[in-house]
Amino acid sequence: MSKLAVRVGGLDLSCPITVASGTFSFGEEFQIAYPLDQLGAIITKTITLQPRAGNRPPRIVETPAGLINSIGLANPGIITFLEQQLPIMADYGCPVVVSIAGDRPGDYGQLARELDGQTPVAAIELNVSCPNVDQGGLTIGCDVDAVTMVVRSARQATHLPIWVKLTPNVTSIVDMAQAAVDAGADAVTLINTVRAMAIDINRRRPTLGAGGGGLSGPAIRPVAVRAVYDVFRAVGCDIIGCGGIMNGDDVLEFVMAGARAVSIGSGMFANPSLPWQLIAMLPDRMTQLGVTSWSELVGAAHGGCEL
Amino acid sequence: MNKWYDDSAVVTDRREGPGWFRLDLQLPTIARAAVPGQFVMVKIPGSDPFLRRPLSVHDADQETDTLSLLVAPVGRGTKLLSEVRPGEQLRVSGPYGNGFGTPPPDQRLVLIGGGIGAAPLLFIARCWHETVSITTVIGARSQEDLPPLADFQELTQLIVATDDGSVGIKGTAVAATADNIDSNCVIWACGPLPMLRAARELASEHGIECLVSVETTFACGIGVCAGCAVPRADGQGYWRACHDGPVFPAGEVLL
Repeated sequence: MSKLAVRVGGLDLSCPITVASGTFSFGEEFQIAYPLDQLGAIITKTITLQPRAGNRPPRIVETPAGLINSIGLANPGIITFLEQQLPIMADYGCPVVVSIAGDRPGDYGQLARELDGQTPVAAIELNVSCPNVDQGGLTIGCDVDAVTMVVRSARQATHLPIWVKLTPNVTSIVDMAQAAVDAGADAVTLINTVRAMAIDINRRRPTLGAGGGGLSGPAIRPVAVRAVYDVFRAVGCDIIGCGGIMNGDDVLEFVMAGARAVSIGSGMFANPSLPWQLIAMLPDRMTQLGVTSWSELVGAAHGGCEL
Repeated sequence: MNKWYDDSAVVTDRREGPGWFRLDLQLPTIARAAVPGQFVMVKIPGSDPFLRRPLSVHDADQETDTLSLLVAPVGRGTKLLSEVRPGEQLRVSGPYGNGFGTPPPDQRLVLIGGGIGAAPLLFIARCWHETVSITTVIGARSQEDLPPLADFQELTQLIVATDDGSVGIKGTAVAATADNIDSNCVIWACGPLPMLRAARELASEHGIECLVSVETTFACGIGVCAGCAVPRADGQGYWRACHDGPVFPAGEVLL
């Protein structure tokens, strides 16, 4: 077994490097240029019950050390996904984690049921950074009760491992992580994008068609590292760290804060080879650090924490 | 989607004019794979700006494995890129997107370019000037906004138009095209939106085919992020400019 092998959120991964939802689509475009079987896992673009065209453009704007996006969950919908995208992913040779989102808690259960038992789905990631129609549009991931409901809804619908990708736009992400774990989540992915906006000063309007959006990239890395650290300390659950990873030392920061695995997202926009470069360099980095197994590094920043 | 590469390239030559600079890159993988109308994503050296810049393939020479980029240093990224000198390295990936394809035989190919937006037209001229008759119409605000013209002059019939009349015909590129077009032409256009709209209009007046190359902000360049959405003309949602384009039949995209 590779010394990068790691178990996280109910899955055995060949390495801790995964690719984040929404930055890898369904993998076809990368498969042309890279060996997908080397990845720890692919987390798909978020799937909803119905197809979505996505938000009005412009959808992205570059900002210092990152970008703001408001894609609007553009996706083909679960039926088309199961018929067209999922079968292609069976050949990738790495675990596929399907990201799902809904307008109300029950949608998550329905989507999870559709995915249950489908090859090659290895786990489900719940994207809870979307408005809850039943609660007047309040973001699901900003409300402990709503998080509990969506995780329960999905938990009752499938035996697949469930990861919950939490939004940082909350007072206490620890409370949200605890609620997710208590409701049956196997891991939390930390963090989704940070609410943000850019203004086009020439047009005197928000730059993005949707107004605001979500900030990603190195700009949010310290926010994400803090979230990982706090959740690891308070909840102790499995964590997939995500936010502005650009190099091997960034990966180590997340892992020492408490993440068992990481997701690369916007970093691939600056460097599409990044996940594979990390996979190639991490074994040597571990040797330099004097560790023989990845789990020795998980939570190492917490000093004296028993793993 | 065709094979693409993420590769290091050595800058072998750099030339500049009033509103442009041209970089020649030693880049065998992409130079051999590229077709006219495709683009590459170029990493600006350093960590800022964050996103790579999409740049159309200006020219490609498969004998010397050279890929050429023609760039207007107008934004932060392109200004930093203009400081790169021969001998230095750049990280480039591509080729991406759908190109212009094959021009119909027996029809005159009319290329319309606006300013440095004319960059991809040279590669078209390079590939097809022996096969079809080509007229290139290049427009700009003024003389100093024109791209380098010598290669167009050599390979095609060249018409130049400037808004201020400082060189060539006074007026827009599309207005200058109107006097040089008939029903036995096809239009391939690249430039700012108003120019593309006018080109589409002109093509529809003559009942001829018109392809346009669309420009927008790209994050990934390969179709995974869906950030570069442009509205479909049929109202059925959006195209991804990088993946479904950047070249579209003018009637399929809402300009």
